[in-house]
Amino acid sequence: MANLWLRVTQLDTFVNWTSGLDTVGILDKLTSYTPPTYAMQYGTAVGEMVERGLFDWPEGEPYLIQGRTKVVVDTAILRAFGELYRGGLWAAAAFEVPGLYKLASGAHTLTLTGTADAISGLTLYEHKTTHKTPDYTDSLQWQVYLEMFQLPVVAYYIAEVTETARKFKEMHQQTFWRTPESTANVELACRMFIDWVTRNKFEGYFTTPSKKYLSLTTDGSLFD
Amino acid sequence: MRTRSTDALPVSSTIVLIYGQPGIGKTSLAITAATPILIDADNGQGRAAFRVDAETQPTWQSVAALLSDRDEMSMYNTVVIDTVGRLAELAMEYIAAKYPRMYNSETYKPSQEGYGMLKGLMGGVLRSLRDMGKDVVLIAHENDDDECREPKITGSTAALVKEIADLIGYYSLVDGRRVVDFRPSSSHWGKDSAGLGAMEIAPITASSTTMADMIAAYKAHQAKVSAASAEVMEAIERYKEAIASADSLNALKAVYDAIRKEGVAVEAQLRHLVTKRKEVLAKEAEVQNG
Repeated sequence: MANLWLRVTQLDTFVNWTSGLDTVGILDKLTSYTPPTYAMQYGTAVGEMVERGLFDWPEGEPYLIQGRTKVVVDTAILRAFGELYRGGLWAAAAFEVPGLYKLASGAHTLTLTGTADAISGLTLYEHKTTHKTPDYTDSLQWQVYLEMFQLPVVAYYIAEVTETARKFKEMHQQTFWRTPESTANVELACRMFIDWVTRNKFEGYFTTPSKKYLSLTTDGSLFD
Repeated sequence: MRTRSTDALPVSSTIVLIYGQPGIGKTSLAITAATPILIDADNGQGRAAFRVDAETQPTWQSVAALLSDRDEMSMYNTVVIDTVGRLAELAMEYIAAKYPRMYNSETYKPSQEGYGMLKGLMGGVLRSLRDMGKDVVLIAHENDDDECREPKITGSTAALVKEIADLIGYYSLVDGRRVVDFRPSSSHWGKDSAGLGAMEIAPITASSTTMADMIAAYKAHQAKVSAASAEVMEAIERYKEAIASADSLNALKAVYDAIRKEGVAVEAQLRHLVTKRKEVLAKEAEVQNG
């Protein structure tokens, strides 16, 4: 009996690569560290700036991601996010909300961890910056998050940017709802992962949670 | 109009995409919406189970003129666009005639700029109908070339429709029964924002209200979620005040215990505030205790 821990993004990776890679390849994808690309850093910067409400950031002014890496963001992106978060929504929302989802299967219990970009009322919000025509219909991420926080709906706020210069093109809003099928998808993906770990005796690779999430496991209480 | 973050949002207008097999009865189903006008770009009226008011043999200009005529449009609750793919072609013909540089006459395809303009025109029509409070039913044929049956709509417009539609249903024969399946799957598109699932469609007659009922069910569901969300926001505002005014760790713990009883969604949105307040109160207690 093992308590397995996995991030939501890792489960997404697992599902996406199941049919494309051999066992070692999948394990490598799940456990190796990949340095963030410029596009990822740019997306991180936009996400942080939105969460801090920096919608009127001066043009050309570099922003420090987590106080370290400088990124100059196209301010049109921030203004577009600001437009979506108008009417008191930004002030009412909780940002960077950590959550857990647990599922027992066979001999093991899997705990998925993840951080929602924002939640307000019964709506979960995710912020994306991408140069591709976005479509998150099949993404496992939102399906897990809706289970994690027991919410009915997720809204993706997506800034489409040019591929190289990362200049703002247009804003997209995609909404997805929790359904019996999305719940079943999450359960199936978790069971597939647990089966894969059990079959290959990979338990040892997935037994360590981060401190951030460990604090959520004391039956939800901050006072125990 | 200004709304507070805790207000329930009114559900004014719904955009539905129904697509599927030829001859299944898409037009007949669509015109069972409440007081519809049919934009009959695909000559589907003649094959429908009954007739409704229609704009026949339309051009892009005639459609644009009709839809922007508020007096004329005040007579209708629903606009049925049959098909959205054909309307996009009409828009493209308009762009090609008016802005020839946006259309390549050798490949019969628009330029990048042309596709952008097409998306702008189609998006503009849908948004203006939504702003007028009209329900919109978009009809599309299915594209059965791929493993996943998709609606037959020009590229940029397909993405727009997928994004803007509140409901997407795939209409097909299942074991001899006519079924609209709103559930997304690997074999067809779907958007089921009201838990409608797969709905069997009874034979359509002039007195049928099938599409009107579907739209009403969607609106009722949205209103319910919106009201529930407003209640949650109100509870959160109440707890925010209670957290801020908790003057001891015991008082804060009592507030937090009450928050936990509200469920994971409320707890998740307030946890960071409880944590911050707890740190402040712990420091104050430390100072008091020397």
